[in-house]
Amino acid sequence: MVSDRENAARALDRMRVLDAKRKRQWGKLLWLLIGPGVLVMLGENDAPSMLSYAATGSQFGIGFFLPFIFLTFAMAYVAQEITVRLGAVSQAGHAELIYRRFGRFWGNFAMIDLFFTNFLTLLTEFVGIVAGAGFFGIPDYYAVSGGLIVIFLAFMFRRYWSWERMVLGLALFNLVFIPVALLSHPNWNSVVYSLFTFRPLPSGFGSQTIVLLLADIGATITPWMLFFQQGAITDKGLSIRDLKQGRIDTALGAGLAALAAMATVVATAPLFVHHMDASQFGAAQFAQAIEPYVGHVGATLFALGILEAGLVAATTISTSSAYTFGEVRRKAHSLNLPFREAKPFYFTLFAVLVLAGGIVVLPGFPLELVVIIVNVIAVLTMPPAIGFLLILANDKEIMNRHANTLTLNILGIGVGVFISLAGIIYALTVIFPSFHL
Amino acid sequence: MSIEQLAAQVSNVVVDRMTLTEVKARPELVAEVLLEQREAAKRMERLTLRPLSRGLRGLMWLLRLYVLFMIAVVTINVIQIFH
Repeated sequence: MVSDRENAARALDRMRVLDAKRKRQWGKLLWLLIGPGVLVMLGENDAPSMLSYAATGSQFGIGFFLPFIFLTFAMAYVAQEITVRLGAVSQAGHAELIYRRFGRFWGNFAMIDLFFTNFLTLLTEFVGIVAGAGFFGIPDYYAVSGGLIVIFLAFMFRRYWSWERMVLGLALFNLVFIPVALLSHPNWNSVVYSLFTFRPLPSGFGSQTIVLLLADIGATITPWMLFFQQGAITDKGLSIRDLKQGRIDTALGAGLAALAAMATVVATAPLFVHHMDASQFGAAQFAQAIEPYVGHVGATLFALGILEAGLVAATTISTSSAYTFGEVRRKAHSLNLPFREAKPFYFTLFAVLVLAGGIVVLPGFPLELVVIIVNVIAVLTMPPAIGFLLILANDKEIMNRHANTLTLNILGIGVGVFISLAGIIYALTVIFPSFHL
Repeated sequence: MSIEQLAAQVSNVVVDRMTLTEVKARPELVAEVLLEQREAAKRMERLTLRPLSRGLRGLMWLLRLYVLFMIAVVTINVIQIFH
């Protein structure tokens, strides 16, 4: 199943790592080994996520949600660190392990959740691309076509390493939301105060607040991240000896993504201060609405940021679908392979991209509704994914001495319980609209 | 072969200048470098289905029902939004 080319490409990457270790070039070593963690975290700062953060800032300002976002990324780190260990120890993808250990019945359930949420999320990435491009007057059809071309180009390298570096470069553009936040001239005392106190609290946790709360959780923790990072770790060939760098990579990604997310809340907080109703805003409207407060440069950067968020996430999410499809069908699945040697892998990848892009340009497609609901669905499908993750992380036959410790299990279960409870509260607000916390 | 020995062998090859074709031409080096990955893959090949205790099976069903229930809730929410 593993071709000569795939092995040679991975071996070349590994030789560079071994060489850096021998020469004690720690900076180079980190450069060689970072990638999956930063990509997954910045990839999850996708178009609907940035839109959720923008909506949060515009409806609640700087307060409870700022430290809450930091907390969600800390939870994302807990979950993603497990995939680093699972990938490095097993050298197998997440879907492959689920099928091997739980069988086809449970595996199929996990796959339905993944493909369903991945496809919905992909739709929203193209919504982001269309909205970001819309700010510059680019028609929808050209925006989607241009986005597809950029994404396809990233896959033309036929090397995981080159693909990873290109997408990483693109992903770092996510930090563009930081200068936008600075241009909004925030009150730094309020920012620091809210970060340490979770205050001011929103006035009542009603249905709308709960949906945003859930969307912000869904903006950081989703099933595709587990499948993508473990697949990328395996494709990159990270081994047990690289766990330290794998953890640094994930923590760095979580830190950068949290900064960009919090910056987006800060950037749109002036809308809250000036009592502008932003509850029905789309991405392009946010860019236009904040222009009086951040200037034309700030608004342009914001629109570019949304466009980039959609591009990067469309790449990583379609890759996670393709990795998973390859693992489940036992077909070649590696970015180190040319198209002719991994046709099902690349076909899945390109097919979902083209289909999602095509649907988004259909006239009358409910763009805003899908964007709002997709993060919510992602959170609601997360508890079983966390369940599988924790069972695998405690499986001694897979993990040996790298199995979860008691502390890690407490943290992992804590994340699962927190997400499940958030979902139950959401259900209560939907079934009983007058329900308030 | 220890990691140090392997690293030493690799370093003699002037890694930074090696091309993919050159690496492909040395299958013994590829095999050596990817030994850990191959052993892990072999170990995974031997894995069989994990026995699920009654409690674990119950938990997995509970989580599955949770998702189905939540999908129904989202559908209700979408209908509410449309109205």
